[in-house]
Amino acid sequence: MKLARASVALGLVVFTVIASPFAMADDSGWYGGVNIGQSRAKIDDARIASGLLGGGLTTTSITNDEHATGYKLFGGYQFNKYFALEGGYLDLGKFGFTATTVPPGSLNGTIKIRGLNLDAVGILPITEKFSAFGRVGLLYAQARDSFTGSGYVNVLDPNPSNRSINYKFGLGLQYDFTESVGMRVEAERYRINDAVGNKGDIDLVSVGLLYRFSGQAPTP
Amino acid sequence: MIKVISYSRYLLWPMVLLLSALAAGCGGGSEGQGPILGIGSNAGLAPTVTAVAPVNNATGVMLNDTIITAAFSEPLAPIMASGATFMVTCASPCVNPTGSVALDTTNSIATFTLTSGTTFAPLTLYTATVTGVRSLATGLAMASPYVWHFTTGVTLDTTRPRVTNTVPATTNPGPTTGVPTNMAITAVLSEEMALATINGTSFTLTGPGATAVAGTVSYAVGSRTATFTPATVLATGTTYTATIKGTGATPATDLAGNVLSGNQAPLPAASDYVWTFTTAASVLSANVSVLSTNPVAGVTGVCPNATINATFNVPSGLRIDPATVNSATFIVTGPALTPVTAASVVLDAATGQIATFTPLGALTPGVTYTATIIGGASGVKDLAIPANEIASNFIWSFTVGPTTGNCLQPVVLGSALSFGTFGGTAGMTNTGTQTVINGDIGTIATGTSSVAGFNDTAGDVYTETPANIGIVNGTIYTCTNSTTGPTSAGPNPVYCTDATQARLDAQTAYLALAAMPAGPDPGAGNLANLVLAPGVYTAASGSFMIQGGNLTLDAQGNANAVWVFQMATSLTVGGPGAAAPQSIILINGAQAKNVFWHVGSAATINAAGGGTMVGTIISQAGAAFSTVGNTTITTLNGRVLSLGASVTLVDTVINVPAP
Repeated sequence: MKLARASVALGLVVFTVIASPFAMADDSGWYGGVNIGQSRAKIDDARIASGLLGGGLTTTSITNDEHATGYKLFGGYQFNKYFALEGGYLDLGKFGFTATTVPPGSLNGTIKIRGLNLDAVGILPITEKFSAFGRVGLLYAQARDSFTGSGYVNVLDPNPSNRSINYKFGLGLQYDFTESVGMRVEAERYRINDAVGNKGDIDLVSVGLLYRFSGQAPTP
Repeated sequence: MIKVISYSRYLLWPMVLLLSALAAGCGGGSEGQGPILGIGSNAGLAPTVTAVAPVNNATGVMLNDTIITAAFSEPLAPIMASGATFMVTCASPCVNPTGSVALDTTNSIATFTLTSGTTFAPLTLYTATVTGVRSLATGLAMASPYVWHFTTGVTLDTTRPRVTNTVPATTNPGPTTGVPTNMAITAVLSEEMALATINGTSFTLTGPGATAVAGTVSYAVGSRTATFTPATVLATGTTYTATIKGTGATPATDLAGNVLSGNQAPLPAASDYVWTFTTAASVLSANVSVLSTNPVAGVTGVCPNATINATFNVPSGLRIDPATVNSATFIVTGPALTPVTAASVVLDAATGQIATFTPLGALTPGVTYTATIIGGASGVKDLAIPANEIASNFIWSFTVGPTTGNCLQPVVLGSALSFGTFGGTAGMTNTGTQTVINGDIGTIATGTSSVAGFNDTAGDVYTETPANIGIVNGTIYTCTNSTTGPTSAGPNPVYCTDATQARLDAQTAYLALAAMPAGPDPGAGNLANLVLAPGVYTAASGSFMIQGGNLTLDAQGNANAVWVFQMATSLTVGGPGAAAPQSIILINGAQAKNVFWHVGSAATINAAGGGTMVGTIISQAGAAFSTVGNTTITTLNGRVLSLGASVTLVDTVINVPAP
């Protein structure tokens, strides 16, 4: 529910900006699209071992699942050849680990991240069809964790979760096949709160398709 | 615009490089990427029960042992405030007892104390249940309710607790010399003590002279060990005095409130227990290690009712710190990672170097279990200051069943458990002034002369003369009247009922021993000079004797090992010759409480006096310890329970084993 409210809020922000006088310029117009790719996290093994040790358990090994499939749906308004404002919904996938301990036991932990973002996009036209861009923005993310213990490992809160606003940034390249359809390759870093007291990064490398509703010529 | 696009061409490749770098970070490298998903304090060990009192499935629990105790592996959050419960219940028509729940000063030991003035109902099965207790540090709750059972007997606990073992050793006269400067001071008690009475006031160390030594006092439930840990290393070449108070305003008491019987006054008086020692050099600083285990690593065919034991090699020569032997440092899992709930994890009283894990329930045949002794700073350590640790975790596995050896369990004694002597239908007689029974005695005989030469803590005296005074550190249960004291006006019907029940329970135990499958007779009737493993031994000729040497019982590291000796007729210990007392030697964890003698007729123990007999002797037709005229004390660490004929004692000390 909170995510829905945030979505509405972000939409309003986007609309407000778009409706401003500054939005009126050449190359302006609405666009939307979808990206999909690989997301990667770095599981905090040292902190896991430290936490378990604090609970009386010695960690003998940790295996991590640090890759996932991530995607995002985005929409935005390009104000001119060099600047756009973009918002969207993203799902960075699921990451996890299994730690084995002495006294004998194991701890499985996973984290799923999804959220909404609002980015300022700076565009650098290179050719008529080819451009580079960079983005920086805010991410309203929900982290949902799941912890299960076996053997002597007991879990206090099996499903901690957290919603927080953090920054994100990224770089990308865009190629426009037609006036309306383009393709993006980009890499982004998302700062997230992992719901167990730690902040870290999740990177997403993705490819995507973009569609311009205005049918104007491609930006660059 | 053309200019911008021109610049863009120069900026393209740096952009591509940046993009590539970030992509590389996502694809394999992680430089600069902040990690996620620690666990904080969200996972860890939950509290587990280390020991309880009364022990699980105890029988003959005395009615006024009104403090039910559960010791945990770590400090707990306040029980009531955290939503946890500690209840004691019984089936109707018994009414559930009421009481108060509390934690000790360490927050690691919970007690349920019956409402003042109330006692347990006799011959009743009680269930104690602890639910939902939480770790004080992490908030983690105990995984599942902990439930154990005990059955009451019929008698009240009137036996004063005693100190049975001290480190440094007690010598008379002291001081004990050559004591290391860097060790904790310990005393093993004969029975479980009331936690609130073992503290810095009741257990003190002074030296030189009356100078108080700063330190901390702790008590280990199950191991029945009080420990005084000096805050700093003691001074070399100095004489110290350790005292456990049995007098004053705050003496040490047992669970029934009986005050300590020390060594400063003869029974029946309470007194302080005092011992002195002189310090020398420090003990060796070297790691503790696991010397052996029972079951051994890799063995199959382990009994489902087995206990798991580890014997430690302690280079310092000290005992293991009982506070470091618990359900967090000695753990068993199986199948796979499934924790095995412990009924208790304790240290043996005799050596302090054998840890025993007793499962709460039977182990499952066909399952391979893994036992782990935790090493390192949070593991098992000795009593040196600073403590010597085990270098690393010690892990071994074993498989339960199908059984290849005996799976003996101690026979149930029921309400006979507290009796050091039972004179069957005929009575009991003491000669001499050195006899002490640390336990109850009883008979269902009705003749006024059937009990002679004894007095008890209640003040009853049965036909004593200056030459025949036997101290009963407990109660004399009879169906007759005493010479002087509360029962002198006439038989106490409650005592008579209790004695009758005790005899019935002893008879049940006798029949249970008789029903056990017969075993070998390795000494052809003479058990002298044998070293026997646990098991049933049956006299082929009908009688056993221990003549010409001692008998050694080797538990092979299993502190719950059981021996049963069956004989159709007599048991004779001692000889040859009048001046050759023989003894039973317990080694490698053997305990007197687990040795049983089924005697078809009568037992004669060291007729010339002297020697140490061990075990519970249940005879059909009486028993005699030493003979009149001898003054050398004969010791029995056990019980002598006759169903029929009388028991006669001459300067005999009987120590009833703790459950």
